[in-house]
Amino acid sequence: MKRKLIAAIGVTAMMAGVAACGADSGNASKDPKERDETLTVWLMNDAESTWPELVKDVNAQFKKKYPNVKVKVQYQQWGDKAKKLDTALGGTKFPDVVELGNTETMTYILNGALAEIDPKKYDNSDTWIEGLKDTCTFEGKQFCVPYYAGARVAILNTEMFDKATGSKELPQTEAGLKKALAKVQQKYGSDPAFSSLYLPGRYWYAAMSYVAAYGGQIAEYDEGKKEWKATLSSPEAQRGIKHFVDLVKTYNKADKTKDEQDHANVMANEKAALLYGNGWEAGRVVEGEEGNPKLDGKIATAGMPGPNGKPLPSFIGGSDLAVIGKSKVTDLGEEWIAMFTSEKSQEVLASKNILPNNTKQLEPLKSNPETAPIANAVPDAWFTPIAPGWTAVETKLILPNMLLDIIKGTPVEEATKKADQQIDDLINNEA
Amino acid sequence: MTAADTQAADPPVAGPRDPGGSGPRPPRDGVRPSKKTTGALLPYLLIGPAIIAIGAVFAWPLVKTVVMSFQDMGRRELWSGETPPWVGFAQFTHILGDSQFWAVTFRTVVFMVVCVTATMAFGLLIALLMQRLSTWVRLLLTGALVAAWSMPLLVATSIFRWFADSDYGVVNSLLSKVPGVDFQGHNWFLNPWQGFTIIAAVVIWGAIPFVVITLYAALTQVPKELEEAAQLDGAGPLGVFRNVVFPVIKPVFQMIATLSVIWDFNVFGQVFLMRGNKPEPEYELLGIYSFQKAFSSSSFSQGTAIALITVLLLSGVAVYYLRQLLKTGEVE
Repeated sequence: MKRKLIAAIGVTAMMAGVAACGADSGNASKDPKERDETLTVWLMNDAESTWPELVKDVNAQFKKKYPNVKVKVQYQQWGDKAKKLDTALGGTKFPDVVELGNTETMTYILNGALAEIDPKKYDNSDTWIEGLKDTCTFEGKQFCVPYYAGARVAILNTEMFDKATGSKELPQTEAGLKKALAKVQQKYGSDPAFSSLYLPGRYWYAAMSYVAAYGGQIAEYDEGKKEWKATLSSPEAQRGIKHFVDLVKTYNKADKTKDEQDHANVMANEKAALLYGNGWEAGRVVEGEEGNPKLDGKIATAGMPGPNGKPLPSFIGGSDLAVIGKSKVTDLGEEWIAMFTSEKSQEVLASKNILPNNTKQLEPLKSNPETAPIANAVPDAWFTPIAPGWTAVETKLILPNMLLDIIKGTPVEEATKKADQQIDDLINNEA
Repeated sequence: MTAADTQAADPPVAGPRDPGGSGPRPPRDGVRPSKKTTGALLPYLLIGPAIIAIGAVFAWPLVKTVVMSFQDMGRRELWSGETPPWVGFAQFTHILGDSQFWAVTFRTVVFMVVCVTATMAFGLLIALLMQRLSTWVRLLLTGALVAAWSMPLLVATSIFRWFADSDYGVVNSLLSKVPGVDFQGHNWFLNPWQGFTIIAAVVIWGAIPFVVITLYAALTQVPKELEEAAQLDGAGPLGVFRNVVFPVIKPVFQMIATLSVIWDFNVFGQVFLMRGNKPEPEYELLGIYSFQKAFSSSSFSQGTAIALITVLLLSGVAVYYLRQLLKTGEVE
């Protein structure tokens, strides 16, 4: 048992750390060979697990130009990165370059944490994907650089579908999909934990995709009042949420109250024939710590059919890279990001079925059968409200908790009204 | 661990004097040994470094906490280093007027009482059992206890989390083996009562070894002759325990119980990890609540104010603990 009095005290202790950073000799006009500062980069663990060689190459390239600059790359986890960054920014030991999820950037921009960047320094900045560029723009200025985009697609076990339905292809209408899922469930349902479609109840990105399919939104901006207002209780949004919950209740035979963390695991253990997830999760089913090598060649991605005969609109996820405003080496940070997001670097990402940050390199992916489903999901994608308090809405888990309540039996109308209230309380606050 | 080294008080009943002679005699009045004046500073010198270290680790954050809870510290102030505006007692009135805070406090108290009661009860029973075991079984048990004690919280919690996993957990598989029971896919954390049962299990499991080993040490102080005498006078096992054994181990028992109260009141890691670093509102104990207020709502001042209130709530218990400590010291 730790005799830790209170988390807050621990945190204040951290902030009281009196470790001064390197000497402030950062001078952009110096010869690159003479620069000897340290550049600290916080990347998310996706880079560590999926494209570590890119990080290595970029660091080597950077070292050629700045032989005496020490680049420290530290990998963070999504779960606690925001909290860590918030406290680090309060002290003297903070990163110089940081990766931010594209739903997180606005809070940092509004609180003046990020340095302004010049888009001209970056490859393909004229064709950056809008959904990412918007999250970096405030009052016409740019505060971060799009890094990669992600769209969600259907991930299926082709062997299971083939054996149950006679086809490896995923039907592209929801009615057809339901017929196929019934056959799959019949064939493999002897295992009580098997789900033909594994859709976890707290998976809010999926739920909001159904909301978008019915024309609903999480929140709308009121131009007159100059404020955001949550609209989850609108009839369209409620219909979408109902549709999602029905799917969960019908097809998920495992614990319906989890979130999407177990995706790869469930499929690797052959407890699911179909998932709705990020394109790169297909790789995790086969490779890596949780992967099952026996499934190699049996996992494919496809467009996910949605309600009303249309494909399901995907959330456009992704990450941006930013330079911290207080950093002593903002110029080095910008340069590192430029190398890390260069056209060549983006090619490496594209080769791993991760969507590049610009439409120029996205186009060819649309014709490649492997990446077509994800690349085609970008045009009619939806995004979370670019509102000052959106991060708080996410960290407070309002949407997953609302879905959980509905799964547990709260009527949709009641749960969405409650969520709307909670969102309205937070979404317009800058701090 | 102080409790482990404290000796139990003398038995209240006059027992036979131990043949080894009594301790050092008190000096005769007026005649003082000269050693005392020369070495008077030595103890302070020896304890100095520890005091300074503790001061640096505890006092400074405490001062920061107090200062911060009278301000309004948000992200902007934290990042820019500006001094936040002073708001007096506004944070405290806001928190004390929040019904959620009282719900969380009530939940914390109930959780603490259940954990402490269970820990002390199981601990005492196992300690009594240890007295009646053969030497090698006792050593085996002690080894197991120490192993459990030394397991890091993170590891222990992860393992219990896997036990209770709804789809792959051992608990559900085992329960489903019972004919007519189907627990496959049952989520133990949907209902906070069930979820807290699992969390309490980790807490109690982690706390028992210390209690057992300390209480066992105290039990060895109970004079065998007294127990025999009581039995001859016709006392049953319960009577012997109540009138002879418990009075001897009472000071130690009280002290461990007080420590457990302080520890279990501040449970943080077990809940946080069990809920995958994202505790739902119904799983908020005071520590989690303070943390969430500080970091999810990024109102750091509210977080520190809640932390301060927690300290005040516990200070009564802490004072009681210190008094116990001094009392046992006096008995020596």
